Amino acid sequence: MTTPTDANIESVLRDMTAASDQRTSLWRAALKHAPARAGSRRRLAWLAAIAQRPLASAAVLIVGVGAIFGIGTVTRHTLTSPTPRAQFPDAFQWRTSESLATAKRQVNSMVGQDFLGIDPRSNAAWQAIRRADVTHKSLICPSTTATDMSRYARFQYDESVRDAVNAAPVTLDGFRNDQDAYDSDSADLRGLGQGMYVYESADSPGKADAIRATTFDELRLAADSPPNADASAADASTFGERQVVRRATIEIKTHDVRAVFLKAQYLIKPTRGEYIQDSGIRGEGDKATAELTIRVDANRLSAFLNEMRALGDVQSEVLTGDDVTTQIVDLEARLRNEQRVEAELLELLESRKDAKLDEILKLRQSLGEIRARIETMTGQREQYRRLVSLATVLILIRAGDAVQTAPESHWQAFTQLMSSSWHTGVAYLGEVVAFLVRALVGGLIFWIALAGVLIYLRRKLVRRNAE
Amino acid sequence: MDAPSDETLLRQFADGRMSALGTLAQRYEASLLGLARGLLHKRDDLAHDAVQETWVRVIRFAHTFNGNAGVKTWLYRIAINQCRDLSSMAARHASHGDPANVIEPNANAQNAETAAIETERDETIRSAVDALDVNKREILLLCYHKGLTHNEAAAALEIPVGTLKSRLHAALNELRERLNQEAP
Repeated sequence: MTTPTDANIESVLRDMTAASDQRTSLWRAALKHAPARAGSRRRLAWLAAIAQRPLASAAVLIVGVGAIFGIGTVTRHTLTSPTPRAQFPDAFQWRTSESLATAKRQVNSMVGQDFLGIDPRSNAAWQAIRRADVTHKSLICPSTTATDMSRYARFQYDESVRDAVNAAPVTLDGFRNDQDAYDSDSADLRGLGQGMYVYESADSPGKADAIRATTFDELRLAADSPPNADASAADASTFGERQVVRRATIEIKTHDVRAVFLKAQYLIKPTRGEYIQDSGIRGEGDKATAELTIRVDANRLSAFLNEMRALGDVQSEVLTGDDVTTQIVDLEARLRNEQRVEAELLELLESRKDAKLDEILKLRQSLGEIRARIETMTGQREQYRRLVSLATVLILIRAGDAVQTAPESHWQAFTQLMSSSWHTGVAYLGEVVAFLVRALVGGLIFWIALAGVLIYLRRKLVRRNAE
Repeated sequence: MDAPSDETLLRQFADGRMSALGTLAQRYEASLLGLARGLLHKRDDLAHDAVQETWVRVIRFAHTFNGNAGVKTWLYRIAINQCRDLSSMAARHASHGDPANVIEPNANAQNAETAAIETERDETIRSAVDALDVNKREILLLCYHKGLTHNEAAAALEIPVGTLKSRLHAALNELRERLNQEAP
């Protein structure tokens, strides 16, 4: 064989890598096995990873959702657990931002017998007390927490407010026995900030008792003391007969719902016109609940509530007062006016006996309309009077542990705390397990669909790997 | 109307137009397959794999193509890398005693049909080329591949053109020496 020339070499080399004459469409095959975009591939990567272990992924998902729910439940429970403030949703609470007019209106509506929550920084509140119609009232302000104490101290050093308070004939006692107030049960003012008790009269015997009082029970007793007759007369002369519609809601927890339900019915005094407006009891044992709507003599409301408090563990207590004096005064004025017109028409009818028939008929028609209005207004007035004279008390009774006595020792306190924590923890656990069961059973269709998708993805991945 | 450039086609494909890849494949698939067959000692199965894998990578990374080099160069570079990978993989299999995958220097001789139509001289040249060092063989095949200029071959190998030419010169010299030695 002769030595190959360069041309021979070039020819062979070109031939070795000559373009294939074979018809192929390898790009189509590639397209089947590779997503068009690397981005989408990356996005699907986690799905592929999940698909590798569908059961483990589903388990992790369920546990994750359960954990999130558990944390959420605990957080919600913690945040929404009944705080003293929450137990007084309708209590009057002044804030620094409230205007003097608002504060005045609130003060006026609280004449008589309610707890007030007050932010001691609220100058408007104190100004209102000084300027409003309740300047004759006695206000006891037991401090409740160290924070409140410091606020109160600042308040004391605020000259303008101090002058306002000093100028008002009110009694303020904010430095006495705050620990008792702090330790008092939830029905008291704990957590409300400064508590105020508004007395019927500055000169009532209750005021002196209240100043000497060292506990809330004593404060209550002082508040329930009968007012001084002269002072009451002075009040009446100053303010007229103030008409306040009072409503109270008291929630009681007891181990014997039926017994408390029956006892509450015996507390009313039919001779004073008191009656049971509504009553009902449902469930048994731990699930028993009862409701009573009782109309009691407004003058006896405090005494009645005291008796109710003794029947069980008070969970919440809300007292509201709706001053309808203006409405009644207005109604009576219009009524008097209508009666005057009626009298004039009657007089006219009497003096014009010889008038034409159609004129007489017109007069009688007008008279009829006026009398209808008089009757309506009389009915409204009576309704107001009934509402004012009889306070409405809604009593909610539900089953629960008996009232706990104060622990006798630290060890007892510790065991009580541990017991309480255990029960709370078990309750949380129960809620979480219940949620998991709900999610598992309720979302069965979703889980099946998810498992289907994961199994499909897994098979697809395995097939791709095999190829 | 002028045919769209390679870059336009690749961009269109990256934007989701699948047919653009088909057009690109129509331009280069046969050449790539020929080159792969040469680099892989006429192993058709491996050559097909190399080209298919080249397209897979194009599909995956089309959106990352930055245009620093031409699309053609980019395609050849991917194909060459795939051939290198497959070649070394086949060599590993061969070392594990899988005689079916052993790449013999003159494996083409086994193809009876090819052997029948090729002259003895050509066969000698092929054998001499196959006996060369891998890098020199690669340089030779790329430089004489019909679809590539020297500049494009240098870009595909990521080396300067001067280096390519000197290596080509060296490879040709060695090939000639081998052929001279074999000549009687």
